[in-house]
Amino acid sequence: MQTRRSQQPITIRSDRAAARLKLLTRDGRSQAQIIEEALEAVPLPAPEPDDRQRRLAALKAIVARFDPTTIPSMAEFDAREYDERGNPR
Amino acid sequence: MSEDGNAVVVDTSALVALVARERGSDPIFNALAESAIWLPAPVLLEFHLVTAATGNSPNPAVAAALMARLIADGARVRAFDGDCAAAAATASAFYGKGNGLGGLLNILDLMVYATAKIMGLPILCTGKDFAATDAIIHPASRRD
Repeated sequence: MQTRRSQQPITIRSDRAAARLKLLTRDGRSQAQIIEEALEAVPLPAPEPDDRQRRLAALKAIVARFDPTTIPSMAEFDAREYDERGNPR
Repeated sequence: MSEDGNAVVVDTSALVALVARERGSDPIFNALAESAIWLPAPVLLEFHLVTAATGNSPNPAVAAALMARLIADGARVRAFDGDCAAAAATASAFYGKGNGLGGLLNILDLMVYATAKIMGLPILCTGKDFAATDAIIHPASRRD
Protein backbone atom coordinates (compact mmCIF):
# COMPACT_ATOMS: atom_id res chain seq x y z
CA MET A 1 0.00 0.00 0.00
CA GLN A 2 1.22 3.48 -0.79
CA THR A 3 1.99 5.94 1.98
CA ARG A 4 -0.44 8.82 2.19
CA ARG A 5 2.24 11.23 0.95
CA SER A 6 2.83 9.22 -2.20
CA GLN A 7 -0.86 8.87 -3.07
CA GLN A 8 -2.15 10.78 -6.06
CA PRO A 9 -5.00 13.18 -5.30
CA ILE A 10 -8.34 12.25 -6.78
CA THR A 11 -9.70 14.56 -9.43
CA ILE A 12 -13.49 14.81 -9.50
CA ARG A 13 -14.32 15.56 -13.12
CA SER A 14 -18.10 15.45 -12.78
CA ASP A 15 -19.58 18.82 -11.77
CA ARG A 16 -22.51 17.04 -10.19
CA ALA A 17 -20.25 14.76 -8.10
CA ALA A 18 -18.07 17.72 -7.09
CA ALA A 19 -21.15 19.67 -6.02
CA ARG A 20 -22.44 16.75 -3.98
CA LEU A 21 -19.04 16.33 -2.34
CA LYS A 22 -19.05 20.00 -1.40
CA LEU A 23 -22.48 19.66 0.17
CA LEU A 24 -21.57 16.50 2.04
CA THR A 25 -18.47 18.07 3.60
CA ARG A 26 -20.50 20.87 5.18
CA ASP A 27 -20.86 18.81 8.34
CA GLY A 28 -17.09 18.89 8.88
CA ARG A 29 -16.16 15.57 7.35
CA SER A 30 -13.26 15.57 4.91
CA GLN A 31 -13.65 14.72 1.24
CA ALA A 32 -11.65 11.56 1.86
CA GLN A 33 -14.03 10.49 4.64
CA ILE A 34 -17.03 11.02 2.39
CA ILE A 35 -15.48 8.99 -0.41
CA GLU A 36 -14.42 6.19 1.94
CA GLU A 37 -17.91 5.98 3.40
CA ALA A 38 -19.40 5.96 -0.08
CA LEU A 39 -17.06 3.15 -1.13
CA GLU A 40 -18.07 1.11 1.92
CA ALA A 41 -21.71 1.45 0.87
CA VAL A 42 -21.14 0.00 -2.59
CA PRO A 43 -21.46 -3.80 -2.72
CA LEU A 44 -18.37 -5.57 -3.99
CA PRO A 45 -18.68 -7.69 -7.13
CA ALA A 46 -18.83 -11.43 -6.61
CA PRO A 47 -15.34 -12.90 -6.66
CA GLU A 48 -14.31 -14.57 -9.90
CA PRO A 49 -14.63 -18.32 -9.46
CA ASP A 50 -11.30 -20.06 -9.26
CA ASP A 51 -10.45 -21.37 -12.72
CA ARG A 52 -9.57 -24.82 -11.42
CA GLN A 53 -12.86 -25.05 -9.57
CA ARG A 54 -14.73 -23.89 -12.68
CA ARG A 55 -13.08 -26.56 -14.82
CA LEU A 56 -13.71 -29.22 -12.21
CA ALA A 57 -17.38 -28.30 -11.95
CA ALA A 58 -17.75 -28.29 -15.73
CA LEU A 59 -16.14 -31.74 -16.03
CA LYS A 60 -18.27 -33.21 -13.27
CA ALA A 61 -21.44 -31.77 -14.78
CA ILE A 62 -20.73 -33.50 -18.09
CA VAL A 63 -19.63 -36.77 -16.50
CA ALA A 64 -22.87 -36.84 -14.50
CA ARG A 65 -24.72 -37.17 -17.81
CA PHE A 66 -23.17 -40.58 -18.55
CA ASP A 67 -25.06 -43.72 -17.71
CA PRO A 68 -22.30 -45.68 -15.93
CA THR A 69 -24.29 -48.91 -16.05
CA THR A 70 -23.81 -49.08 -19.82
CA ILE A 71 -20.07 -48.46 -19.83
CA PRO A 72 -17.78 -51.49 -19.73
CA SER A 73 -14.70 -51.46 -17.59
CA MET A 74 -11.46 -50.98 -19.48
CA ALA A 75 -10.59 -54.63 -18.80
CA GLU A 76 -13.90 -55.78 -20.28
CA PHE A 77 -13.47 -53.54 -23.30
CA ASP A 78 -9.89 -54.72 -23.86
CA ALA A 79 -10.90 -58.39 -23.63
CA ARG A 80 -13.63 -57.88 -26.18
CA GLU A 81 -11.82 -55.63 -28.66
CA TYR A 82 -8.21 -56.87 -28.60
CA ASP A 83 -6.85 -60.36 -29.13
CA GLU A 84 -4.19 -62.17 -27.10
CA ARG A 85 -1.47 -60.32 -29.03
CA GLY A 86 -3.03 -56.94 -28.26
CA ASN A 87 -4.25 -56.35 -31.79
CA PRO A 88 -7.82 -55.41 -32.74
CA ARG A 89 -10.00 -58.49 -33.17
CA MET B 1 -4.66 -24.49 -17.63
CA SER B 2 -1.10 -24.65 -16.46
CA GLU B 3 1.82 -24.93 -18.83
CA ASP B 4 3.87 -27.94 -19.67
CA GLY B 5 5.62 -28.21 -16.31
CA ASN B 6 2.35 -29.71 -15.17
CA ALA B 7 1.46 -31.51 -18.36
CA VAL B 8 0.08 -35.01 -18.66
CA VAL B 9 -0.81 -37.49 -21.40
CA VAL B 10 -4.26 -38.91 -20.76
CA ASP B 11 -5.02 -42.57 -21.44
CA THR B 12 -8.48 -43.86 -22.24
CA SER B 13 -8.56 -45.77 -18.96
CA ALA B 14 -8.48 -42.52 -16.97
CA LEU B 15 -11.47 -41.17 -18.88
CA VAL B 16 -13.35 -44.44 -18.50
CA ALA B 17 -12.70 -44.38 -14.75
CA LEU B 18 -14.51 -41.05 -14.58
CA VAL B 19 -17.54 -41.90 -16.64
CA ALA B 20 -17.96 -45.37 -15.13
CA ARG B 21 -17.72 -43.83 -11.63
CA GLU B 22 -14.86 -46.13 -10.72
CA ARG B 23 -13.22 -45.79 -7.33
CA GLY B 24 -10.22 -43.51 -7.30
CA SER B 25 -11.72 -41.17 -9.86
CA ASP B 26 -11.53 -38.03 -7.70
CA PRO B 27 -7.74 -37.67 -8.08
CA ILE B 28 -8.20 -38.10 -11.83
CA PHE B 29 -10.83 -35.35 -11.89
CA ASN B 30 -8.44 -33.09 -10.00
CA ALA B 31 -5.53 -33.90 -12.28
CA LEU B 32 -7.62 -33.06 -15.34
CA ALA B 33 -8.72 -29.78 -13.79
CA GLU B 34 -5.24 -28.59 -12.88
CA SER B 35 -2.95 -30.03 -15.57
CA ALA B 36 -2.00 -29.13 -19.11
CA ILE B 37 -3.69 -32.01 -20.88
CA TRP B 38 -2.47 -33.85 -23.95
CA LEU B 39 -4.92 -36.23 -25.58
CA PRO B 40 -3.30 -38.71 -27.98
CA ALA B 41 -5.54 -38.77 -31.06
CA PRO B 42 -6.09 -42.55 -30.81
CA VAL B 43 -7.47 -42.06 -27.29
CA LEU B 44 -10.29 -39.94 -28.69
CA LEU B 45 -11.29 -42.85 -30.91
CA GLU B 46 -10.96 -45.51 -28.23
CA PHE B 47 -12.91 -43.44 -25.69
CA HIS B 48 -15.68 -43.07 -28.23
CA LEU B 49 -15.69 -46.83 -28.85
CA VAL B 50 -15.86 -47.62 -25.12
CA THR B 51 -18.77 -45.27 -24.55
CA ALA B 52 -20.53 -46.63 -27.63
CA ALA B 53 -19.89 -50.23 -26.63
CA THR B 54 -23.41 -51.04 -25.53
CA GLY B 55 -25.11 -49.10 -28.31
CA ASN B 56 -28.36 -47.20 -28.19
CA SER B 57 -27.32 -44.89 -25.36
CA PRO B 58 -26.55 -41.18 -25.24
CA ASN B 59 -23.05 -41.90 -23.96
CA PRO B 60 -21.14 -41.30 -27.22
CA ALA B 61 -22.68 -37.85 -27.56
CA VAL B 62 -21.78 -37.08 -23.96
CA ALA B 63 -18.27 -38.40 -24.61
CA ALA B 64 -17.96 -35.94 -27.49
CA ALA B 65 -19.17 -33.17 -25.18
CA LEU B 66 -16.56 -34.16 -22.61
CA MET B 67 -13.79 -34.05 -25.20
CA ALA B 68 -15.06 -30.69 -26.45
CA ARG B 69 -15.08 -29.35 -22.89
CA LEU B 70 -11.52 -30.48 -22.24
CA ILE B 71 -10.33 -28.95 -25.50
CA ALA B 72 -12.20 -25.70 -24.85
CA ASP B 73 -10.40 -25.52 -21.51
CA GLY B 74 -7.01 -25.90 -23.19
CA ALA B 75 -6.45 -29.63 -23.71
CA ARG B 76 -4.48 -30.35 -26.86
CA VAL B 77 -4.75 -33.31 -29.20
CA ARG B 78 -1.44 -34.93 -30.13
CA ALA B 79 -1.48 -36.50 -33.59
CA PHE B 80 -0.13 -40.02 -33.92
CA ASP B 81 2.63 -39.35 -36.41
CA GLY B 82 5.60 -41.20 -37.83
CA ASP B 83 7.77 -40.57 -34.78
CA CYS B 84 5.04 -41.96 -32.54
CA ALA B 85 4.69 -45.02 -34.79
CA ALA B 86 8.40 -45.69 -34.66
CA ALA B 87 8.46 -45.32 -30.88
CA ALA B 88 5.46 -47.63 -30.54
CA ALA B 89 7.10 -50.22 -32.77
CA THR B 90 10.25 -50.12 -30.66
CA ALA B 91 8.24 -50.37 -27.45
CA SER B 92 6.27 -53.36 -28.73
CA ALA B 93 9.41 -55.48 -28.49
CA PHE B 94 9.66 -54.71 -24.78
CA TYR B 95 6.10 -54.13 -23.63
CA GLY B 96 3.75 -55.30 -26.38
CA LYS B 97 1.38 -58.18 -25.68
CA GLY B 98 2.55 -60.00 -28.74
CA ASN B 99 6.23 -60.04 -27.87
CA GLY B 100 6.16 -63.39 -26.11
CA LEU B 101 7.89 -61.89 -23.10
CA GLY B 102 4.84 -61.17 -21.01
CA GLY B 103 4.26 -57.63 -22.26
CA LEU B 104 0.95 -56.10 -21.26
CA LEU B 105 0.35 -53.30 -23.75
CA ASN B 106 -2.15 -53.67 -26.58
CA ILE B 107 -1.85 -51.66 -29.76
CA LEU B 108 -3.70 -48.63 -28.33
CA ASP B 109 -1.63 -48.75 -25.16
CA LEU B 110 1.53 -48.75 -27.27
CA MET B 111 0.30 -45.61 -29.04
CA VAL B 112 -0.27 -43.83 -25.73
CA TYR B 113 3.03 -45.08 -24.35
CA ALA B 114 4.88 -43.84 -27.43
CA THR B 115 3.18 -40.44 -27.31
CA ALA B 116 4.08 -39.96 -23.66
CA LYS B 117 7.62 -41.21 -24.22
CA ILE B 118 8.27 -38.83 -27.10
CA MET B 119 6.86 -35.92 -25.16
CA GLY B 120 8.62 -36.89 -21.93
CA LEU B 121 5.37 -36.64 -20.00
CA PRO B 122 3.62 -38.80 -17.42
CA ILE B 123 0.58 -40.90 -18.29
CA LEU B 124 -2.68 -40.44 -16.40
CA CYS B 125 -4.25 -43.89 -16.39
CA THR B 126 -5.65 -46.75 -14.38
CA GLY B 127 -4.51 -50.36 -14.25
CA LYS B 128 -1.24 -52.23 -14.09
CA ASP B 129 -0.29 -52.17 -17.76
CA PHE B 130 1.60 -48.89 -18.00
CA ALA B 131 2.98 -49.30 -14.49
CA ALA B 132 4.79 -52.41 -15.73
CA THR B 133 6.77 -50.32 -18.22
CA ASP B 134 9.36 -47.58 -17.84
CA ALA B 135 6.68 -44.94 -18.49
CA ILE B 136 6.26 -42.14 -15.98
CA ILE B 137 2.93 -42.67 -14.25
CA HIS B 138 1.08 -39.57 -13.06
CA PRO B 139 0.57 -39.72 -9.28
CA ALA B 140 -3.19 -39.35 -9.67
CA SER B 141 -3.30 -42.61 -11.61
CA ARG B 142 -4.83 -45.71 -10.06
CA ARG B 143 -2.38 -48.59 -10.34
CA ASP B 144 -4.79 -51.51 -10.17
